[in-house]
Amino acid sequence: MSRLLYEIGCEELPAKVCGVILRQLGGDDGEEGLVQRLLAEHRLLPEGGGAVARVLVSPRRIAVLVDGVPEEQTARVHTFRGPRADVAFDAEGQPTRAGLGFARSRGVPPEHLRREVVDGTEFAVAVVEAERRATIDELPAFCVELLKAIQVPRGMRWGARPPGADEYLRFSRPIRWLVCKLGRRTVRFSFYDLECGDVSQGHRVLGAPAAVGDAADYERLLEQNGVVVDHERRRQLILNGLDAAADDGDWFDPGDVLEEAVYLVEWPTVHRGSFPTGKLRLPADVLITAMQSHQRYFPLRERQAALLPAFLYVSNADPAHAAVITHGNERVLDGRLDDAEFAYDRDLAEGLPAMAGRLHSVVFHEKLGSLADKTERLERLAAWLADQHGDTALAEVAGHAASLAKADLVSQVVIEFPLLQGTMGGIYAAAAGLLPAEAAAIGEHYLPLSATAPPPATLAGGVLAIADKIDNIAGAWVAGEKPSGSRDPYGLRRAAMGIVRICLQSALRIDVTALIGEALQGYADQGLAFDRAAVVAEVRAFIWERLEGLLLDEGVPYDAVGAALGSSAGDVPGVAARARTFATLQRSAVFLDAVTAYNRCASLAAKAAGAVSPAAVDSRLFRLPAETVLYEAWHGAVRWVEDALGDLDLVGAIGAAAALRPTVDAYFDEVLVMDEDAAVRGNRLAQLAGVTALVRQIGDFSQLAV
Amino acid sequence: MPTYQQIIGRLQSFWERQGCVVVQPYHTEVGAGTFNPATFLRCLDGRPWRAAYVEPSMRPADGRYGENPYRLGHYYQYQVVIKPSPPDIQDVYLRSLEALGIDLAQHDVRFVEDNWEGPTLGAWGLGWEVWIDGMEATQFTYFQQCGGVDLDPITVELTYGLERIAMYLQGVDSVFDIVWSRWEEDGRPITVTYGDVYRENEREFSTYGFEISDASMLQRHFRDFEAEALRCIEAGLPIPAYDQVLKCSHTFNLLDARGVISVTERTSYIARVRDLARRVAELYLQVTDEPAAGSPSSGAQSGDSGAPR
Repeated sequence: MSRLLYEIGCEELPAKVCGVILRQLGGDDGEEGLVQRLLAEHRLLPEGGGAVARVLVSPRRIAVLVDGVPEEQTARVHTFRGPRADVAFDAEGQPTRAGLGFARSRGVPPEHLRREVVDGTEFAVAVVEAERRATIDELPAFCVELLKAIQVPRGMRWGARPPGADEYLRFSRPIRWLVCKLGRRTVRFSFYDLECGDVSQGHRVLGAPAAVGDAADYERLLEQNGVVVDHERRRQLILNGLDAAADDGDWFDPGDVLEEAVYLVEWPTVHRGSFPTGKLRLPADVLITAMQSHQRYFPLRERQAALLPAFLYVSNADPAHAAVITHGNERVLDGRLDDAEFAYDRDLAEGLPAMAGRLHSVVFHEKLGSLADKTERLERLAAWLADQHGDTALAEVAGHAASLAKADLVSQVVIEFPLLQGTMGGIYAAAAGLLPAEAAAIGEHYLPLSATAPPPATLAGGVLAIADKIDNIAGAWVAGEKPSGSRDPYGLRRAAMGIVRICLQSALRIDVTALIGEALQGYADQGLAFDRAAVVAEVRAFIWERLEGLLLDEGVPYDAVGAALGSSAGDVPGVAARARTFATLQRSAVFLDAVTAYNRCASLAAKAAGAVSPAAVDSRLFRLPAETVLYEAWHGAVRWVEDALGDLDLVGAIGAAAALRPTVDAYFDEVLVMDEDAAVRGNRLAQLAGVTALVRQIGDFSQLAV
Repeated sequence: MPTYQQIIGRLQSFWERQGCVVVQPYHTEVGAGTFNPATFLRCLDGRPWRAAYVEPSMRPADGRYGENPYRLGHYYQYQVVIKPSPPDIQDVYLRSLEALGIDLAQHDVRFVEDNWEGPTLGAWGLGWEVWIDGMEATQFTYFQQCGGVDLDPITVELTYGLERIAMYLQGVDSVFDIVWSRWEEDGRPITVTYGDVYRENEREFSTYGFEISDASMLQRHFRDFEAEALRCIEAGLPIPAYDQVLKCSHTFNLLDARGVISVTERTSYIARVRDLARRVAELYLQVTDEPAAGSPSSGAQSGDSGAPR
């Protein structure tokens, strides 16, 4: 048993790619990684298990370390079936000509033929043991295959094609060296213009090229050369360093700075720099973005409070020279903050209302008009949404916010830091004297930024966010640029998910179809032509798909979601409450009663030729008492069901439907619905359709797998 | 502490020693060193090529009237292109920093992912920004495509931001305080700064670009340059055609700075320039693939078999 080392040396890999490669090679979420799979395919895992593979990634290397690799490939036996035994062997048990031929064809001596019974017939079989190569001889093939099997997100070419090669080797960044050791032995092979050997590269400044003597010494040798290969150790070193350097402050990670830093350095040390206190007059978001997005610094704040004029950075250099390096970093940040301050002051001097006045000359979309047009549509949608919610104060706040929501897009700071769209608008709105609620709504109307990020915290912010998102979605359909497959350049799936989550969070019972209609009206008023019915149907399906995905992710079964979507609910909270309740009650007796009552009526109601209107039920045509009993029960249930649904009391509504079951059962015991008299028959079907329609307001129970 | 002109001199002699043809800035306005035909055209074909040069880069929309200490409408890039990209190019690049007087052992030099795309040239590549103590000093790119053509072999491009490097080396906080040259007259030290040379230019060109330029004339010029490029392409002359493409590109930049181009028009202007660049690239390949006696690259640098295409 030996330790295997395979190192792929690269020019600096992008930090994100490091994570991708790590998961591919090492496995992810219980899924087997490439290393394990290829070791098994090459029969390099010891029988009975026990090999431990580790994958370590740093910016300049991908290292695979496997302990317990056997000295030769494990055994593999193939059994080949030949002719029937009575054909292959003669009476004395000696191989016949046919038997000899079979043995020859499989490359085994005739005396190695065996007999085996398959399905009652005895056959001659040849047992062939596959060649077992020494591991050291098999490793080149393993190494090459591993390298070829790595899928990088955006591959590149470099240099020239090696003579004779039709294609370039592609990788995330150029591969510059390969090292492979089995214990103390070096595995040599060539691949494109790379020669695999035993020389690895240390840190560019703190180390030197180093020959690996023994795979077991690899990590120690690299460490002597300024490289911590193990990414988890680097992460821990950075975390410890951050805590130590933060001193009296709290460091925080505004977004993946740590994850990137782990893969930006091979010898991490953390140092603290500062910036002039005067720069703290800039909004915290501007300071944080300048530190994070350009420089990958960690901001510092006082315990749970305001920012400190300081930052932490992860260095890859000799800590002995930290003072000089910190000074350099401080100067760079200082310059960036000067620049930001310059932009911020110009924006403040202009003011948000003046920026809004420039929106007419900025195109929102070539077919959909300018940002001024977009602003008008937002104002209209915000007013409509507030009205639907029955809140006049909200209408005022959301309306004002909508009129200035897009103005920051022409601000200097947002042009410099696009991520701050909305945030700057909120800040400039406050500076322009808008109410805090209006500024807050502008500030958060792009939220949520992802499927899991927090939605707007205020109701006005939620309303404005919904208006903005539905306008984007409807606009894409109007412009003929709806998302398809993996193509979703405007992030409309995320936008639709945002609408769903905001409606759920704020219990906004907005009718989705009406919302789409309102959004489209804004475009129609601009004189744009489109097939309104088709767009409404497609956009509605697009939004329901997001809700469906959200509910399925929560663990609500597929059929419960389907039944809820088949109900009369047109609003997001209505559908969600139904699906969640169905999921909880699915096995309960009361639910089964409701479903049974529905299904018995619905299956016959479906037989009615043409439309049957529950309104057409005529009690004078009743022939049997059970018909009257059902009629009364049905009408009694209507209020009950509709009131319960109005309050989203799904348990109550289901209880009302379940209470119909004995009546429905008695009805079918007594009544033959398909009477010969067409009038009687039609009347009965209409009544069943009425019961069906009532229960269907709760859910389309025919979709449930009960 | 090297002066601005000494920084340029050190880079010139360093890259000369690496076998680069030290070419001169191009005679037509460009937005970046990549636009110089020594990069755009030369990276297209299969023949080896090494060049280095200073390129004055004009970006009218970046002008700030000489008031912002970090922004210029006209600045300098130092551009190096090598084809095929050598295996030790990162090390060679790092040695060029040492040649500038940066002791790598005392600084934190990083290669941070940054991919480059030039939409008007139909060009893109993968690489890094090189940081020195957090300062972006160089754009380091392996070109993958240029003029819509898949490159083979691959050219590596190094673009040094000369002003930033000078500010860093000289420890000054405004681009206008960079010491351009220093000498002694009668024992008295005389210093000329970047501001002495260029601040007034920044003010005037910002005024021109943002307030004065004649938009309708520029629009007319754009159409004329575009038509002329097409005529040159018809005539089988990719290099003069490319000059017209550069003029289109600069005219577009002027129009953009003037604020008269809507987002939609912007897209269409870029597409028009890109289309010309693509046609020039294709024509250039046709013309250079014909073995022409006495062609500029038929001499010492054409040892490689070249890539069949």
